[in-house]
Amino acid sequence: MRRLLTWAAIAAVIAVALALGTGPQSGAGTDGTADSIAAGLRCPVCQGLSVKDSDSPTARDIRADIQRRLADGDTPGEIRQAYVERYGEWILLRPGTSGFEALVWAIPAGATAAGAVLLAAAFWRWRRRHRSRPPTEEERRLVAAATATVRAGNGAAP
Amino acid sequence: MLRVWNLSLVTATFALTIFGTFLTRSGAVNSVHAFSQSAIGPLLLGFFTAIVLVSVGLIGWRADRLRTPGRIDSPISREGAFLANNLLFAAFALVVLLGTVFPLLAEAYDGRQLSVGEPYFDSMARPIGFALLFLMAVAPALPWRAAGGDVLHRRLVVPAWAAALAMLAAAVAGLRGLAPLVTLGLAAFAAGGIMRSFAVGLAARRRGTGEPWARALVGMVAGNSRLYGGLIVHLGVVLFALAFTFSSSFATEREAVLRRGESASLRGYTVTYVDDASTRSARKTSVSVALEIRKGGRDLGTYEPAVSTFAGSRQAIGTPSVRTGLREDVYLTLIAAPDNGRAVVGIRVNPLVVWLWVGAGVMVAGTAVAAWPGARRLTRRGRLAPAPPVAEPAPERVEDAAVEPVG
Repeated sequence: MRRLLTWAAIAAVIAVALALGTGPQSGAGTDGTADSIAAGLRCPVCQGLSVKDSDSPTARDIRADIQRRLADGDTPGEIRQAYVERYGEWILLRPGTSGFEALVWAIPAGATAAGAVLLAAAFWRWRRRHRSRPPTEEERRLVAAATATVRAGNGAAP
Repeated sequence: MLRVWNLSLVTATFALTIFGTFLTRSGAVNSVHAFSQSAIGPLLLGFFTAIVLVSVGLIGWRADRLRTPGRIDSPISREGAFLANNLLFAAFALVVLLGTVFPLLAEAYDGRQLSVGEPYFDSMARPIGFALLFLMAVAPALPWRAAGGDVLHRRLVVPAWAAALAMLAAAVAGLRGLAPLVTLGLAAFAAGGIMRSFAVGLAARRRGTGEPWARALVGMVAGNSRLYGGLIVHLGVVLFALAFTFSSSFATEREAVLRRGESASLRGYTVTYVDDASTRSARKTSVSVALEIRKGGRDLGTYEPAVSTFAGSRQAIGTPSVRTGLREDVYLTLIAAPDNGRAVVGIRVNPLVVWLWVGAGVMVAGTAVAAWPGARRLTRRGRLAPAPPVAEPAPERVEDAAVEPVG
């Protein structure tokens, strides 16, 4: 009972810390939003860089355009959609969650869950097949003899 | 134990290395490493196929000989933790593999062009990384075969308090964000467990031998160098995880247009444009700007980021300059060379980056300790002798015996 209370107290402290630390953020502002949009768009003229990470003139123009659209009151979703209409879905670095793209999210999650279920099933089978039994007198004697040898023979090896 | 698993993972690692080489060199995935116009693609693909067929065939054919008679009694045991660890690393590999080839699959499926980039990998890898850190913290506390509630409680309650209090203290002190807080908690959990293992082992040894602290510590580590080396490696992983999360979560950057003598500030650092210089040779032209970094009135030195243009290329290649500190790194880049006296400078402050290196160093040191032949395996003449049977019980056992009366 006391042990349960201890762990409940630990969980409570962690919950308070998380509530405190992930509460409404101050000061993220439009800069943070613009950065997160830019990080999700592919720089059209680079190899494997996001708009946020690229110094190319095109990426600079896109970053400025994102700021302008945010100032005009566009939502991040609308801004992303505008870029998809101009460049195609290829511009988004984060694949969507519907249709064929859903597979890129679902396959790893499903495979990991299936692996966990298989492991759990294997454990269950192992336990059923090999019930443990108490050691026999012979086994106890062997262990005692081996322990005595070790205790006596500290450093006695050749 | 787990020999089929281990062999499969080893062969999969090698096969995926070859597959990765095929993807980049053949140009199947856009890469700067692609060889243009070469027959390397089909060759590598053939090699990869051969490796997969041969190893899968061999393992399938001989698996019954690899299987060990050992068994796993309980999922809550050291063996269970190893299996869960294998599962998570396999999931991690699957995320990387699928994310990399998915654009190709999508194009083959319905001809659409898709991208799978950093945001995908971040959101998939983060939960796996958390689970791996958690396992790393818990696994050393789990006994082989099966764990009882008593043992687990005794070994984990102090590390768990360390985690909870560290998270609370950080949140009160103003740390914000789920990923940094969870990483900090898991890091404190793991570090607490490592400290506890060392403290318990040291106390047991001193009770037994009466040695002074330093000698007892050396003797204890030498006596079970694989256990303590492994724990030191874990400590390195903890440092690495903290540095990785904090440097990516709390990086700030800005651009500034500066004339000579002007300054820009970011996070308490003031960067002043002092001077510029340019060098020209037959092959390249470089322009560098001398920038002085100050913090709180203290001069942290002058750094010279540059941009170079090579003959026959229009693209400019930047050479950043980095001021490294224990708490933060300041990265300076020259985005645009001075034009009419005005240069565009990028300033980026990244916290804790140097701890990535420290963590890696600790991991190497821990590996060296674990690989070092134990002191008790050296005879007086300094030659390697066959390892004698372990003369004293492992520290965790000592403690079990001390707390739970045998019988």
